Order: sequence, then structure tokens, then C-alpha cells
Amino acid sequence: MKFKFLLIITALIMGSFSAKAEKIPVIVKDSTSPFWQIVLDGGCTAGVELGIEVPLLGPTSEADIAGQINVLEDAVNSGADAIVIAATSFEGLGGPIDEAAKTVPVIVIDSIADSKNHSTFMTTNNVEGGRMGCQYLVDIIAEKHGAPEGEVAIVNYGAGPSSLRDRIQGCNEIFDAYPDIKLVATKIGDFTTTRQLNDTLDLITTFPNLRGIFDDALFGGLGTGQALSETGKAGEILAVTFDSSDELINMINEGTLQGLIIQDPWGMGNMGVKSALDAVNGKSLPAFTDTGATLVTKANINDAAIDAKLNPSLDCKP
Amino acid sequence: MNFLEIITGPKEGNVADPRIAKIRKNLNNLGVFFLVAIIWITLSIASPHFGTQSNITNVMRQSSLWSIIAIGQTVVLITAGIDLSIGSVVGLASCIVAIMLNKGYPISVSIIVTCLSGLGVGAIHAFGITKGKLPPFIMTLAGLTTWFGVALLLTGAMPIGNLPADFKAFSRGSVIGIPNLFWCVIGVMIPTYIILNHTRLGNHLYAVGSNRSGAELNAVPVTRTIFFAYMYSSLLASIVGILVAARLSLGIASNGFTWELQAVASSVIGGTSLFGAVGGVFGPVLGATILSTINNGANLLNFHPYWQRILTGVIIVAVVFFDQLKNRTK
Repeated sequence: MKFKFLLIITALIMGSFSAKAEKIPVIVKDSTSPFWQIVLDGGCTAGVELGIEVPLLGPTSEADIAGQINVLEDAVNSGADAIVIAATSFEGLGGPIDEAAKTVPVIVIDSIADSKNHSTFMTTNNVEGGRMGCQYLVDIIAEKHGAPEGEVAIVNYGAGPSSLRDRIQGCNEIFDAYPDIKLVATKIGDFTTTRQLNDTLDLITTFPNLRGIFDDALFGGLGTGQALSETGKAGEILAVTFDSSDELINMINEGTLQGLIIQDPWGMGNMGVKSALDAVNGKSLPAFTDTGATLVTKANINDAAIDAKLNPSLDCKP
Repeated sequence: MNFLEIITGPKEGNVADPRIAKIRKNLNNLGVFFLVAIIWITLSIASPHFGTQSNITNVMRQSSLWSIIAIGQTVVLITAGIDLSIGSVVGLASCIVAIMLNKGYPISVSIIVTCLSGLGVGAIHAFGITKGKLPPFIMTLAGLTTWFGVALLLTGAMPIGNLPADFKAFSRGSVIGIPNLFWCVIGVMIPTYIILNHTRLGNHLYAVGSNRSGAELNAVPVTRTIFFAYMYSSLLASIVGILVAARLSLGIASNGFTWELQAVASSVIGGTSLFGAVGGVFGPVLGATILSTINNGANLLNFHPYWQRILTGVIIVAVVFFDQLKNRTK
């Protein structure tokens, strides 16, 4: 009897707490990747700043679309006031996000889904990021070889995510604009670094005249960089990749890779949560917010503004 | 000796002549070996790049990692078990060795500690299977997710880089034209071959796989044998974790992702039975070589990557189908 009474009291206390503080979970694509750790830290910091609860969620692989749908459904059922989510799949998350949006506002970050009822979409303009990366690649090929011409290849981290698709689309637009730039292959990986390493090695073997490689994701870039340094082709085959990590920064400094297109993942998580709270409070949001992309090269890697983006502090404790 | 039996296997109800069984095992290896040879010759004709020394080195490096875990998987499969944790143990080992090297421990110490933790992981699996009476599928499936989780915890999901140059150089180097990674395969094949074919432990492994209760009745130390199989598999997975960290210059929890399936596929292509008691050392290495060659060949011929996956699936089914056809009694 006493026990039951205690339970009711506890439930009441907990209920009153959760009624006060909003709960806005951030659901990323892969809770095991450094990129998404930065997004989560941005979200966590927003939670601390705003005094709200921000559970940090996500499957452990970008390929786990079904897992992310479960996380999303559980978040809605556990009484979230709004949801911030990066979709692992354009098609796969469309229905579930529309379903969730019937109950709570949904802010989509980084990768859009085939949904109509989300409140806003905040992301790097990935098409623009792809253009930026491949324009730089074409520029440095022209600088090295005297003209924008020769064989290039794209190494894709894996099929599915719209962000990667957009980057490749943007990149292809640039390649198409130069009649003498010949795209010889687009490799499609399986979301592992080893695969990217092997694919790049095989590219180097198959196309001895290859002049440039565009890789569209962090772990992919690590594999491509490793392949270039392993075969001694670094600097001979020029390479641009997406996102950053300590190792990728080393590769830029060593000249193994020539460029990184970095996004603002911390800002995505941070602004995502803040916009979600605005949506909860009934403010209207723009349909799309570009969070920006930046080209990092050996020349600007030590600039203060770039450094702050490359090395965000990941010390948020909720 | 009945020569027909070499081709068709023992007649139903008859006990296999051990000499014939041995010949049949070797023939099976020969069949896969010829398949590798046919694929290699075809690819050399189809692509001018396939036969180049640098590409063969690539294929050998690519197949080495899968070969080693496939040998470990084979030892477990021989006992009629399965080790689904291999991919995660590879990832975990790559993280442990990278963290230790990063903290400045000598390469030798880092490698030894990583291998010991691999043995510990295998012992936990074997403990659950023997003492806890859990099915190997379940115990190692639990291992698959657990060890991935431990690796994520240890690294905070960050890739661990900045590894010493000597460590990284090993995986790229070669001795008398054979990549170091492939020397590691040979270094694993020899003791495994001796254990399987020339020791009592080897006999026990096959005995446990062919009839566990019968083995128990015949005073085979079943528990100890199963401990050996899983510890050996996890040890080899840890060695591959160390090698993959050296190869990528990184420890990441996702290293080895889904490789347990590559290990099963390589082993089965190489003639290992999922039902125990059948398998050797050469089969899994040849199986891993086939899988790596398909990937490499499809890349060199610039096959569409999606077709590459389908082709791999078709080849796995075809090889095992013909292998079984050969084994059917007429």
C-alpha cells in the first residue's frame, strides 16, 4: 500500500517535471560517427542554453533505415514536444516523418526525406557543396596540367542518403560543364572505409591516367586518402573529399588530399533544436535554411574561423 | 579402393573410407582452386590491369584479411558452431590497438594486449556456449552487438589515428614480393593446418562437430575443445583488427562491419559444412580469394557496383550448389 502511494507520488513529481521542460530529441543517422557526434553536441548545447531536455538518439549505422524509423516512433511515443531528425533515407523516412508530424513539429536537418509536413529543413546545400568541391578539383587539375582536362572519378560512400546524392549531382554538374573532363567511373561503397580503400586502389589500377577523385563523405575520404598515400599517388592524383576529422586534416597538411568541403554540423544540431522550440511555441519557420559549406585547403587550414569549425569543442554535458 | 566412390562419396549407409574421404577433401580444394584459376585467367584476358604485379599485390592484401577470419570461422564451423561476432571483434581490436599506440605504448605491448583481449572475448563466448548452454548463434550474435558497443564506448565513436609509422608500414610492406599481410595468412595457415590434421585437439574438433554426445561418451574433452575453437576465432579476428588498423592507419569501431558474413561465405565456398566436421585450411583462403577477386575484377572491368553485389551472391550460391551436387550419393 505504502509502496503504491510512493509510486503515485513519484509519478506525479516526474509528471510535473516533464510538463515544465520541453523534450526535443535529436535523431541522427549514425550515433557512432564523429560528424554526428558534433551535430549531437550542438543539439545538447542548445538544450543546456534553453533549459530543455534534449535526448540524443540514432541508429548505429547509416544503413540501418528501419532502426532509425523505430527510434523516431519511440521518440514520438515517449512524449517528445518536437523532433529534430536527419533522415537516413529519402524514401524510407518520408512516411514515418509525416506520421510523426501529425503529433509534433518535426525539424529535418542535413538530409531531407520524402515528407511534406515537416516544419523546416536546415542543411548544407549539398548540391552547392558538391559543386564547390568539384569546381576546386577541376581548378587544381587545370593548374597542374595546364588545362581543365583529363580523367576523373567519383567515390561514393554508399547508396541512399539524399545528402550524398546531392553532392554527386552537384559534382557531376561541374564535370559536365567541362567537355574535356571525363568522368570514368562512379564507385558506390557500402558505408565502410575498407571498401573505399579497395575501390580507390582498383580505380588507380584501372585508370592509370586518372587525374582527380571526388569522395563524398568522411570515412570514404579516409579510405581514398589511405589508398593514395599507399600507392604513392598522392599529389599526382588530386583528391577532394567531404567533412573533416583529425586524420583528414593531417592528410590535407601532408598533401595527400587537396581539399575538404566542410559543413557546419554543430550549427545544424544547435539551430535545429532552437528552431524546434520556436515551432513548439507556434512561430513560423522558413521552408529551408542553408547552414553553409566551406572549402578547406592547405592554404587556409590554419585560419581562426576555419579552425573553429574543424575543431568544435565536444564538451556538452546535458 | 573403389574409384567411383571418390566422385560420388560413400554409398548410403556405408562408412566413408578415410583414405577416400581425404582424397575427396583434397579434390574439393582442387575444384575451388581451379575456379580461382579460371577467374584469374579470364580476368587477365579481359583486363590488361588484372595481371599487373601491383594489382595482384592488391588482391592478395584484400583477400588476406578475409582469409584469416575465414580460417577462424572454419575452426568454429568444424565444431558445428558459428561465430557471428567476428566483425565486431575486428572493430574492437582495431580500436584497442589504436588507443594503446596513441597513448604511447610500444607496438609489441599494444599487440599483445589486443590479442589477449581477443582471447578473453572468445573465452566469454565459449563460456556462454558450454556452461550457459546457449546456442552458438545466439551467444555470438550477442557478442556482435556487445563488442561493437564496447568499441564505441572506448573511442567515443571517433576514429583513432596518429599511429606510429612503423606500425602502418608493416601492412604496406612486402618480403620477396609477397605482401606482409599475406605472410600473416601463411603464418596462420601453418599452425592451423598442424592443429587440424596432426594433433589430438584437431581430432577432437572434428569429433565434437560430427557428434557431440558421441564425442562426450568417447571421453573427448568437449568443453575444452569448444573453448579452443571460439578463443582461436576471436584471436584471429583480433589479429585482423590489428592488421586493418595498420592498413587504414585508423582504429574505428565500424572496421570489420559485416565481415562475419564474409568469413562464413569464404569458409562455405571453400567447402566447409555449416553442420560441422567438414572443413580445412585451404578452403577458406581460396574462398576469401574468390570473393576478393570478384570485387577487384568487377572494379577493373568497371562493372556497375550494384551488379557487383548480385554477382557475388550468384557465385556463392553456384559454388556451394555444385559442391553439394558432387557430394550427393547417387
